[in-house]
Amino acid sequence: MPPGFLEAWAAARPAEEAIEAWRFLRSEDEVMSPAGMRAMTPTPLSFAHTLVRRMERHAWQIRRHEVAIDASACGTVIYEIDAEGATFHFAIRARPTPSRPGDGRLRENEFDFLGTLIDGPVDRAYLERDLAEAVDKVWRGRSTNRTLGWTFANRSARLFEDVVAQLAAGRQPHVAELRRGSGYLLRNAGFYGNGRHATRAWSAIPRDHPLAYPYHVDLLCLYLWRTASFDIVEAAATARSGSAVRLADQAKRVLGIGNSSGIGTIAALVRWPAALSAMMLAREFALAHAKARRGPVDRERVMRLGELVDEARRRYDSLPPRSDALEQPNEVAAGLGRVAEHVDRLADGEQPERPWAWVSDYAARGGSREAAEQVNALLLELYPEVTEALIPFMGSLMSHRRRVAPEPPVTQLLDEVEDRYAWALDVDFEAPGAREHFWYKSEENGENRRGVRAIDPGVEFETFVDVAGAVQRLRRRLVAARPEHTVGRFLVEAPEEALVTSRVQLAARMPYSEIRANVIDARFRPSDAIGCFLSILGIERPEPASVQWVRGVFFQAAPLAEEIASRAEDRGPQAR
Amino acid sequence: MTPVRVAYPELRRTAREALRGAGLPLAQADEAADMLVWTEAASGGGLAFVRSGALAKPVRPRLSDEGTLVDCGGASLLAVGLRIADYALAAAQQGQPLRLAVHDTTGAEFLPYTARHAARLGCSVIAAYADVGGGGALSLLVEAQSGDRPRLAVWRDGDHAPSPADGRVTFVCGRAPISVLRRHGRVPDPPPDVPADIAWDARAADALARGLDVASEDYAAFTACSSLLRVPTSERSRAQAG
Repeated sequence: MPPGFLEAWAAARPAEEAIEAWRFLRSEDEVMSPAGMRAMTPTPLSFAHTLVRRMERHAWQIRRHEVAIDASACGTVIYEIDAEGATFHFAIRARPTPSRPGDGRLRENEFDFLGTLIDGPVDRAYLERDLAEAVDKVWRGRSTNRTLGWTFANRSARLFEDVVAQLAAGRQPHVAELRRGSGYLLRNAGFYGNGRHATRAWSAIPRDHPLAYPYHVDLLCLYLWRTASFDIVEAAATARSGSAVRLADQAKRVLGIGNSSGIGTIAALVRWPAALSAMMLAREFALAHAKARRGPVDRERVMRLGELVDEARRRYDSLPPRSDALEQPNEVAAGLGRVAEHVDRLADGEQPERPWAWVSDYAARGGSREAAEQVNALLLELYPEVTEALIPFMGSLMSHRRRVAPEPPVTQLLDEVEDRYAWALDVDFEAPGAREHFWYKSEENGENRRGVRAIDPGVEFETFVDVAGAVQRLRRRLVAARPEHTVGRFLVEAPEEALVTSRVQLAARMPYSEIRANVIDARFRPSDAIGCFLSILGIERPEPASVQWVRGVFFQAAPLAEEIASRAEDRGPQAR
Repeated sequence: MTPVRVAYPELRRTAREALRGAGLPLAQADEAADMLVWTEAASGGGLAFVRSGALAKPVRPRLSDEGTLVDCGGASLLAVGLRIADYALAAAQQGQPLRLAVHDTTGAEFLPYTARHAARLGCSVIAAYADVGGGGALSLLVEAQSGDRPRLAVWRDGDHAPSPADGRVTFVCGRAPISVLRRHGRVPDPPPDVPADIAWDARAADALARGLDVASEDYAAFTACSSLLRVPTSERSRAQAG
């Protein structure tokens, strides 16, 4: 178990539960393989969901402080947010849409919307100064540690203008069309916080601060973009016509905030193995906890699972076909239908020794990997007290710093390499395509790109993603090292092995810390791991736009700001 | 020039690439980044060291068979300090305190972090930096008492600024109080007329909370180093974006 895990668990739940559950963790080959990662779906532990639950629990107030938007949907919007005794301001500058190719790439000063999230009370002069830095200088702009982050967004080419026009004409857009379309009015174009542009360091946010949990600052900005998208289309429609109508709540509830993530995600997942482990372990441990429950389980939970599986089946049934890289929604729906029948057997009195393991294992054998992951995610919903107990642990484990442990003998390190990295040692780098790609950063805003090793320039500057290659080199050197030497002594004369050594030692204590694939292989699809990470964040409807980036929608069906302010409870999956 | 206010993680994030750009191999750049930023925050001088060009020496240290002498071959403590501290830590965990001589190194600025690293992992440290070019005079003395928050005391002799090359470090490390290490290690006493600077961690914590001011010319050179890793763009390159 990771350091501190059992102690942290025991503070909230019986330690025996954790020891029992640990035996039911799934294998890393199953979870961290590309196929396993591709099938991941959001769970109650996904960061967007934990944020919404927190906002609801504490009835965060999001108030429009100023909405000055003209008929072209340009102008200024300012929100004041009261959250658990803290106050934030979110200021937006909306600009005309420049003509741009639809490739989603980062470009200097070409955003439609720029926003800044500021902690604490703030005067207008500070807001204007901060916005001006973001608007005028973008990548070179400087802020201060009062600012939690800058964020950018663009209008949806498919829906934004159409919705404004319909509202101005006094009509509501068709909900079904909104759902079939992009599902958002604005598309997120990035969040730049945690010190970027001199903003507040995440680690400098006090633990009792409402935004102290990982990714909650970033995701609050996404939520606020969604809220702003409604206010901006309404204000623009009103500026165009005296007979404009407000966007109906029913329409708002099917709209989220668009997002796309690319291959930089892979570099980040490789760079932060402790964070990857924490995110995956929390999910897997919650599942293991459910699977470890002995029967009989109470009928209420059985019925609840049946309802959830059926809801999910209907949701998949309503989705349009997807790209060939993913399972088709109707196949997933069929898989869920079979699981629903299996759950019915529990309701009819069948009593397996461990009912949830019985359901989960059946789903895993059912042929649809995504259906199986969906069922696993739904099992987590049956034990909200367990997911809540894991939340603080996940936060602290994500802060764990990887370092070399110098005391053990090199023989122990060699054992750890062979035990934990057999998948990497099995990679045949002589095989065709095994070393096809490399990751690099472009001079264009540092954008992450993936080149072809034999053709493209920049290999000497490659970003580290080749874990399998590094592990194989380490093993060769360890085999040649003197067995009586400590790791510390070995590394004095081999300092270039320190990075991979610390990864191996981390993996010996923290499961799920590595993507189990040769990431530089021609056959590796970055979209598999990108989609997994986005599911951890809580994205809905992830869809690979290519092998290199994945798009989807956040906060679709999430409660509206007014509902959160009135302590809305249980409005759809996001609220649970 | 006007100082630039930067956030701690902003500098940390850039440091990894900047150190690679300045000549360190990836693995060393990865772990030296934290040392660099903490040092800059606690005492200044970290970025200036990188800017001086003293870093670009990709040399592997050599350890004597007896394990008591490390020849750095001109590599700086920024590049190899953690490896030395880890070695000393592992050796000291096995028994008696270790007295390690470190030859032909640079970067006295990074000795406090090096000592602190070992102290955080359970060993106390006394480390003295002497400047061979300056006649072997002591220019920096560090005491780090072990603990999660090690007590760090640093004496700097302003009369003997470290030279950019050929420094020598005596590194005494053990699971014992500082007083025991002092008897064991044959290290110099603190200069009687120079007060100990004990505020290093406090300054680093303050920088984490509020950001830190760095000299704009140092920062410009630093970011220029990180830019060296950026690959020129092309239409083909643009198609490789995700």
